[in-house]
Amino acid sequence: MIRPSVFAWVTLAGAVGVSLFQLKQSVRTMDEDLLRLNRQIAAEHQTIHLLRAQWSRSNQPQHLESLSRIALDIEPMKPGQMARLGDIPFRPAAPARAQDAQPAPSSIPAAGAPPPPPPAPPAPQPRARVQAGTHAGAPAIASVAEAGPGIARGGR
Amino acid sequence: MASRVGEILARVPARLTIDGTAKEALETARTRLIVAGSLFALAFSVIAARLVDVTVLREPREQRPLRIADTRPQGMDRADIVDRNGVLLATSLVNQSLSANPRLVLDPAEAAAKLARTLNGINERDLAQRLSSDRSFVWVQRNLTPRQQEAVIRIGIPGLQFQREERRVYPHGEISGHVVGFTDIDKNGLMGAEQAFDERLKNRGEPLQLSIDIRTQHILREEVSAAMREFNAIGGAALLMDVETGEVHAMVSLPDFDSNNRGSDGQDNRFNRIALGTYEPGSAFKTFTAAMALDYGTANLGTPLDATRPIKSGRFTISDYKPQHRVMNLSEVFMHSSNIGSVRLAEVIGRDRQREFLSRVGLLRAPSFELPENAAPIVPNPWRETSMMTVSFGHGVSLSPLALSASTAAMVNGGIYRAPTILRRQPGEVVPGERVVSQRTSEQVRRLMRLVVEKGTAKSANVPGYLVGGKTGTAEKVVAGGYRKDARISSFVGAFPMNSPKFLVYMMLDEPKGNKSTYGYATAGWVVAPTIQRIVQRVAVLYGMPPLDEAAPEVRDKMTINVAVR
Repeated sequence: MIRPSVFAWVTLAGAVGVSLFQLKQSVRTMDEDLLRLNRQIAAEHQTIHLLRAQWSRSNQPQHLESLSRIALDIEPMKPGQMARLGDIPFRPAAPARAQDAQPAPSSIPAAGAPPPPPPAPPAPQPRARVQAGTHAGAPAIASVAEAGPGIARGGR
Repeated sequence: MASRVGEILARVPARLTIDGTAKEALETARTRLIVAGSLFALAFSVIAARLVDVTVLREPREQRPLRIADTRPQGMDRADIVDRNGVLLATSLVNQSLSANPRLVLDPAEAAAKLARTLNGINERDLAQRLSSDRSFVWVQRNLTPRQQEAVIRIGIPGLQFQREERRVYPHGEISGHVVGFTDIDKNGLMGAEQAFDERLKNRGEPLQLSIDIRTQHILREEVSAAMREFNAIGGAALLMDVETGEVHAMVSLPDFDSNNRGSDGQDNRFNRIALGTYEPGSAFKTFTAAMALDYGTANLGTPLDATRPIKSGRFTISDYKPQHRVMNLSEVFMHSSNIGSVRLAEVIGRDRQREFLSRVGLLRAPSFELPENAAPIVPNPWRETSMMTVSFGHGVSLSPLALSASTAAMVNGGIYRAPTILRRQPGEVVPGERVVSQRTSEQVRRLMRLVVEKGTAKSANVPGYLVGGKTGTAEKVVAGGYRKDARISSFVGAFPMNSPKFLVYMMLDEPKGNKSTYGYATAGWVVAPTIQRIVQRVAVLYGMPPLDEAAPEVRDKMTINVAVR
């Protein structure tokens, strides 16, 4: 006759054994998954690296220049096509708006410019680009042509 | 009966001892039991202790190799090099090359057919022949892309092997050759940034950022090579530098070479004319003569200087290229590039102070520069009176265009010398510098340089709205024992916009020949200045610099010279 306690221990040991086996199996599967994923990530990194090199190669200025000459109907930008925000006169027919703009003139270099545009500030601002609609008073003049990365076509 | 047994037992001693062989056997068994039992007990307690140690006490000290997904980018043997905008200039690519062991290939014809279908550019019949040879190693194709590699693995032909090869690739090899340089087959830097930063590239993974802008590099290269073609020059060079930080934005030396494919070009193409070549600057050096006179206070912009007749010194006669035969003031001497006037200026300053000044502005030593290609100037030794005279107009001294440009930048940027650099500075970084001339001297030099472009020898360098200023220089090439009349170096060094200079621009042509459009002249004003104009225009547009109103009072104020100039 088997005593109840012996029966309980045997059952418990069996259950622990089975669940341990299952845990081990699942860990093994996950390990395999991880290994596969890591290999995949490494391969993707390789590909990205290669693509970056190809992208840089495809972006050679001389290459872009010849492509733009063939495919685009755009001329190289001239210095005269650039302007400063302050050079744009305010619309005379909007007095209410001009008043709105006056309380905060500090954000704009030349708010409320007189009819002859104010002289350009002496220090050059290399990155200054005209941006339409940056404040209420600015007329909606289209922004200057974007200078693409080195696509200044045929310098002569 | 019971009492009888009791009596007997009472007579037996309390301890029952058995003597003889039986007793011995029992003793042995007992000892063995004790030894075996304690051994087992020990083993089990070791196991128990170890279990507790492993499961409870031990921290996960040793790194498990596979715990979480490894998303770090893979380090290459050598770091990338990028330009100031992050455009890749040099990188290492892993390539797999496919080889085969023909002895293990079962069916050469079938294998060749499958490979030819998978890879481009394979001659099937040729490959089949090679695969049926008796050797144990043949190349099938070098440098496969990962995709091709995968395709080859998928067709699963036995006997094929991949060889991992890492290769240095320069996506902009043609235009960045002199700056980036190249490495040997073992990836040791042999030139340019690859050599200068060899250790850094090998040891640290993050990309090395240069101050070069590949777009301006391209602009300079295109314009200089066009000028070289037009004037049949044997070489040319150009430099674009930030006058405030010393960062080199572009550095072009022609003829040049492709870092990817350097075997095809000669050694001459690798010569860096900007940093390694030394040339007599000629009149471009007069900037320093004028600056030293202004800085020592021995002259001002209106000081009259006698240039009526040539100066004789020993067996030399110093004359002007376009003699004016009159007394000119300093501004006119600079504008007309008068040699005689420059000598007059130097005579007042004196030999020792001249040398002291040139040393102070960094012209008598090699500039501090990262690239291994960096030449020291050739200066007169001993510094005689005659040397003083010739040096005042840029003869008898040779220096690299880089050294000339760095010192000229100090003349126009407010008087601070900053070493040129090929590495990108962080925006807002305070760049250490050394004051070499006063702010006032620098402002006057700006006016003089602007005058040269406005009314002097470099009128065709002018770009409306950008206040280009500079100084031309045309020097006959030095050969053993004298100068060659027919071979000259024509150069221009200047900056823009002159009211508050941002960029220094230098260009030179080696042995330009005049043509019909220049009326046969090959001087810098004719052959270099027009290219400067195109370079300034394109660079200004690229960087979005809006043109200035040159008539505006505060601009005029900074550019006018209050003396009569004719």
